[in-house]
Amino acid sequence: MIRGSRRAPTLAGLGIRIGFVAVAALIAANAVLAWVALGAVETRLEPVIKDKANVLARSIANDLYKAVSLDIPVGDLRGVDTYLEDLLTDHPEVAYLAVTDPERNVLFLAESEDSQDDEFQPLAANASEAQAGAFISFDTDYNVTHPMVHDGKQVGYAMIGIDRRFVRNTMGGIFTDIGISLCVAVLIVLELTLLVLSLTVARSIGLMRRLMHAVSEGDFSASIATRGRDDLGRVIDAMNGINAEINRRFRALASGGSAALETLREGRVFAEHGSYRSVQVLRAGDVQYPLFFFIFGVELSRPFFPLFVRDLYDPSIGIDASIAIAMPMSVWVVAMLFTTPFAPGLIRRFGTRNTLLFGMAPTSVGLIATAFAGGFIELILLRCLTAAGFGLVTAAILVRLAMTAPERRRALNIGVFVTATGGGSICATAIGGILAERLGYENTFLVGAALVFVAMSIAFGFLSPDEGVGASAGTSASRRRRLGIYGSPKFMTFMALSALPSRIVLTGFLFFLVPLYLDSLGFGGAAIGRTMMVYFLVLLVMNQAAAVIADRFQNHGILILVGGVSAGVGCMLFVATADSLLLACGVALIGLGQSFVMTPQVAVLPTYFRVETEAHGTGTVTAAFRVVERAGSIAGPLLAGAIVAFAGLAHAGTLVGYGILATTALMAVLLAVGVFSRRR
Amino acid sequence: MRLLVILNLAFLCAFAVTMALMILLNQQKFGDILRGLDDSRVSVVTLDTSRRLRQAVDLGLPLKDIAESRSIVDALIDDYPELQSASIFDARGKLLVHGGNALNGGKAEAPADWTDGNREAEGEVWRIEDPESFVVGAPVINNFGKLEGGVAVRYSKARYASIVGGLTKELLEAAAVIFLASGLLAVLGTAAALWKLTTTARYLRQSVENLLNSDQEETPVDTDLAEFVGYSVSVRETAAKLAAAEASRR
Repeated sequence: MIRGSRRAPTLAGLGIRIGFVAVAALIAANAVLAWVALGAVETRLEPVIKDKANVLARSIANDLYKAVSLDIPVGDLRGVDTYLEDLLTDHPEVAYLAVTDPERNVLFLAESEDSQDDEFQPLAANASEAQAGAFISFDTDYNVTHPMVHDGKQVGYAMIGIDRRFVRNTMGGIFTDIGISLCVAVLIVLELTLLVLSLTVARSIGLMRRLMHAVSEGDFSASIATRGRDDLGRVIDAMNGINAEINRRFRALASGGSAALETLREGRVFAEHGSYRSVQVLRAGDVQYPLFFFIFGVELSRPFFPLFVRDLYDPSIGIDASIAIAMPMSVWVVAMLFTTPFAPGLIRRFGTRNTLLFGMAPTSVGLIATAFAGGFIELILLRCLTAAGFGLVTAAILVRLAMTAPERRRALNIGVFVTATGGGSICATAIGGILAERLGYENTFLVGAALVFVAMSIAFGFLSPDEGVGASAGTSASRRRRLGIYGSPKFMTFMALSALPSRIVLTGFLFFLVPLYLDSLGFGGAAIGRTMMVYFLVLLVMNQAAAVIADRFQNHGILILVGGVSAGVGCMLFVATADSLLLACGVALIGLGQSFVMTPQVAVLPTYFRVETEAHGTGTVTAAFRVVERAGSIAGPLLAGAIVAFAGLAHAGTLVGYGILATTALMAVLLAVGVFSRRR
Repeated sequence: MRLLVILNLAFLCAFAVTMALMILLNQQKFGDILRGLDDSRVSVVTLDTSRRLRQAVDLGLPLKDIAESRSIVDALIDDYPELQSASIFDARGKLLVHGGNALNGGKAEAPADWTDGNREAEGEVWRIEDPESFVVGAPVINNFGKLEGGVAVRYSKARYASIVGGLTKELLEAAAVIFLASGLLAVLGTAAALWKLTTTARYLRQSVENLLNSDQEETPVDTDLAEFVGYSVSVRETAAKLAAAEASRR
């Protein structure tokens, strides 16, 4: 007899514990490695710094020797201070330069600002220790002295101190990059933890619950297909075994024609013909993880893509450079548009997993080929290939989410998509900039392709092959009825005032203008990536909050208006400053605006357009929204490119900001007069 | 066990990628600093040499007639053993004095990119790279502003590569040890975190397997899986009815 009760750890608790262990190990490992690296770098640079200091001291002595050789006392020389100051400017590692008399009294001195702040006394107490060419460390400096000799007599010394903090300070420049890499790694580790727990533990427990529920209702005809031999899999095997045994005994009775069969059938369902109904758990989160890695791979080029295109731009094609740089981004969306409508049909026929794989394969090939692109036209073609797959993957995931979500949780469910894309984009923009700066644009595309392969492996390994086969994306509609949604003035007005502007902000401003503007301010790849990352960070944090608020208070319209104002102000702030912090604030405001707009926009479709949804189906309305939205994505870079060609980078940003504010104001008027309403 | 393996494989991949990125960033930053210091040091030497030559050409002597050119070049090679060669050339690129490793297979002309760089440098230091060396040069301009020629020194990339390679090797060795230690920590920590889930799953399996066993009269209650109560009741009831039907048929 087995007694007592046993409490299984909750999934959240398990995730926190495992995530904590992994993150702690990751941070500890990298902290130790950073410390080892700093020590190794300092050890190797010390002799190099010593050589440099000696050369500089000798150079000063040589320069002064000309005067000394004419019997001019060193102390009477004019302009030595300025000469030393100039040298100090040219050699940032030098803390001070001094010329002394034979008794080592300082005649001329130039000190770096840091040394002055520290009330630095050059060689004050320890000057006597400094021998010719010797390298002596005291205070915060490495010190070198070089004698000036004339006719066998010492006439003075040239002395140099190298700031020992130089190495540490210079290496500190990579700590930001290391910190960001570590943050991304932490995010990835947490994603991996949730991925594995979700696709193994949570899925198994969900399936067990489904089967237990079915059996407690008297349904013994179900079975769970298990993969792998873990502990939870063995529980499922045991449960399958129970059903198999009961059905075997039932079928044995049935074959003998027992009179008790009807009594047994009361309130019970058996697998009378030996075939079992498969238990499935469809959860929105299942597609979150492959999507995260897919977006991570594709978006890796985001911080430098306009700069990459600029390098391949060929003036002989006869298009203005600004518009040419925008073209691959617009072409990208056109190619996506072509494949987007195929997603529902492909899911119905081949299932979600295979549709995702159909999309991911050309994307990875396109990324690899882009790395080796030799010309502008070639680049355009390769972007088409990459985007075709990208469009199919994102549309397939959106359609699947829309199909499985109940209405009141729709915003939250769509939030899964925005969270995965936001998380992937944060990692991509942060790491993409660093990789581009260190490995080059081409290799960064290859890393992106590798990440898409990871996404393919996750989709292949963890998603069920027949999931989604035969599923319907809402009301089945003919081609004419599907196209009919575009004839709805109300629908198209909403698109023009909300969906299109938000995409123009995203593709025209953030993806096109921001990298070019930051590059024009002298920002490097890593700094551009860090600034753009702020957008996705704000989006990730605020998106779920906006989704919860929208679902709880059903105030989608207000959120859309607030988002529009925030994005417009963000655009105008961004191009009005060159300060890093304010630039980040501008990007953050755009991110805040987009997070308020993106999820409610999709969530309001069935309610604002109830008649259209009933006529055309949820899937058709959602797909039409994506199609029109992507038209905005096509127009965004081209529009921004045209404005840049006409008005320059900064003015183009301001004009985009004004445009967003104007469309938001019109939207507010239409909401106020009730054109868009939740009422039937 | 399978869950432990999958989780830790994923973690170890993340650890390896992060540490590789850390090594890459450190290696490249170190390389930048080292290159900057080396370049700055050689630039000082080159500019000093250029200034010494200028003092002579300021007196009106053409560069080819400066007698101390040879001693200046020889002193450079003696004082700075890391230099591969030092050269003084006139404005048309003819090598006037050369010390150290032979240049251009022993030709008497300075490479064209040296003379181009020298012409475009406008009195400042110029830098170029060839497959084996870094080259730093400085023009020699007389006090009438006429370009008389230039001085160029080469220093080996091999030394740079060797120092950076040494750092990379040291970091890789350290990373391997740290990776093993952190991997062990992650495996042990994950195993500890999963231990309760594992034991609960085993207990649940045992409970399920015992449901059809008539010796087991009571069903344990698992507080996290409330469905188990209804499940076990349904299984036991159905099993009992099946047993009754089987008995009546006999």
